[in-house]
Amino acid sequence: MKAEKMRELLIRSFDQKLKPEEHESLEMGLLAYDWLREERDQYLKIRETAARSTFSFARGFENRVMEGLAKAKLIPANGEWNQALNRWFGRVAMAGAAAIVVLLLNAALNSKTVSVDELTGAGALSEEVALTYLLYEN
Amino acid sequence: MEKSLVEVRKITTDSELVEGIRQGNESAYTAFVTRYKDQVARTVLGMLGNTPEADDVGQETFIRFFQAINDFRGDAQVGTYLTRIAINLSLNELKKRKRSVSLFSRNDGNTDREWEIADDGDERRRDSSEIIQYGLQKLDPKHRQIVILRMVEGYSTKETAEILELPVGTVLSRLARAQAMLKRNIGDLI
Repeated sequence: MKAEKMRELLIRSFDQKLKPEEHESLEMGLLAYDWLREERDQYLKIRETAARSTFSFARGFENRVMEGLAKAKLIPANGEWNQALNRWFGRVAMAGAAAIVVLLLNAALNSKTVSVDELTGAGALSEEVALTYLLYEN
Repeated sequence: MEKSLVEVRKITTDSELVEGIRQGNESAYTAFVTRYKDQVARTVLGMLGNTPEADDVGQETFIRFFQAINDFRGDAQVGTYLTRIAINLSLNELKKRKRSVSLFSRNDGNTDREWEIADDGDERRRDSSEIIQYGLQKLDPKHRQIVILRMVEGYSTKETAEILELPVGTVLSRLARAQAMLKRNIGDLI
C-alpha cells in the first residue's frame, strides 16, 4: 500500500473507526514500517500535548467581566459592595444596640435606679459640684 | 435571602447557577465566570493567541451569555453553548483583524504576530502550551477551530460538528489536514 494511503489511515484512525480491512492494513503497516510508527508516535505526542495545554486569562478576569456587566447594566455598579455593606450593617447595628442595652442594665443595677442622672453619672455628684461643672468646666 | 459567594460556590449544578443568575444573584455571576473562564480561555486564546483582544473577547463571551440567559433552555450543555459563543466572537475578531491588516497593508495577514518561535533552528525548550499556541496560530481559522474543539477541548467529532454546524465528514477531513499541518509546524518542537 502506498505511503500516502497509510498516512491517511493513520490520521483517520485517531478520530474515527476504520473499516476492518483498513484497520488490518494499518496494523500491518505499523508492524512493517519504522517511519509509520514514528509518525504515529509524533501525532500522539501532539494530541497529548494539545489535550493538556493550559490557557488562562490574566489575573482579575472575573472582575473585568463584572465591570463589563455593570457597564451593560446587567447588574448594578458596585452591587457586590452594596450587598456586602447591607449584610454587614445589620449585624454591626445589632451588636452595637446589644452593647448599649448591656451598659444601661449595668448602670441600672449598680445604682438601683434607671434615672437619667444615674445613667449619665451625674447622680453621684452633689448639687454644688454639679453647678461648678456646669458653670466653669467646658 | 440572597446567597453569598461562598454559598454559591458550593452549588454544584449548572442549572442552579443559571437560576441564580436569572434571579440577579451577583455571586452566581461571579461563580459562573470562575467555573467557566478556563474553558473559554482555551477556545479564545487558542483562536486569537495571547493578545489583548482575546481578553476582551473572553469578557464579551460571558456578557453575551448573560444577556441571552433567559433564552437558554438547557437543551445544550452550558459549556457547549459558551464555546459556540466564544468561537463565533473569535471568528468575528479575526475578520476584524484581517480587515484592519488589509486596510493598513502591514503584512500579508499572517496571524502569528504574537509568536516569535524562530523557524531558523532555535531549539529553545518551551512550555508545551506555548508550542501548541504557536502551532494553532500557524493554521487558518477554519482548521484552527476544529483542532481547538476536538484536540484541546476534547469534544467528540460529532459534538465538534454540531458546535460548528458542519457535516461530520467535513470535520474529519479538516481535522486530518490540520493534524498534518501541526506535525509539519511543531512536530520537531514537542
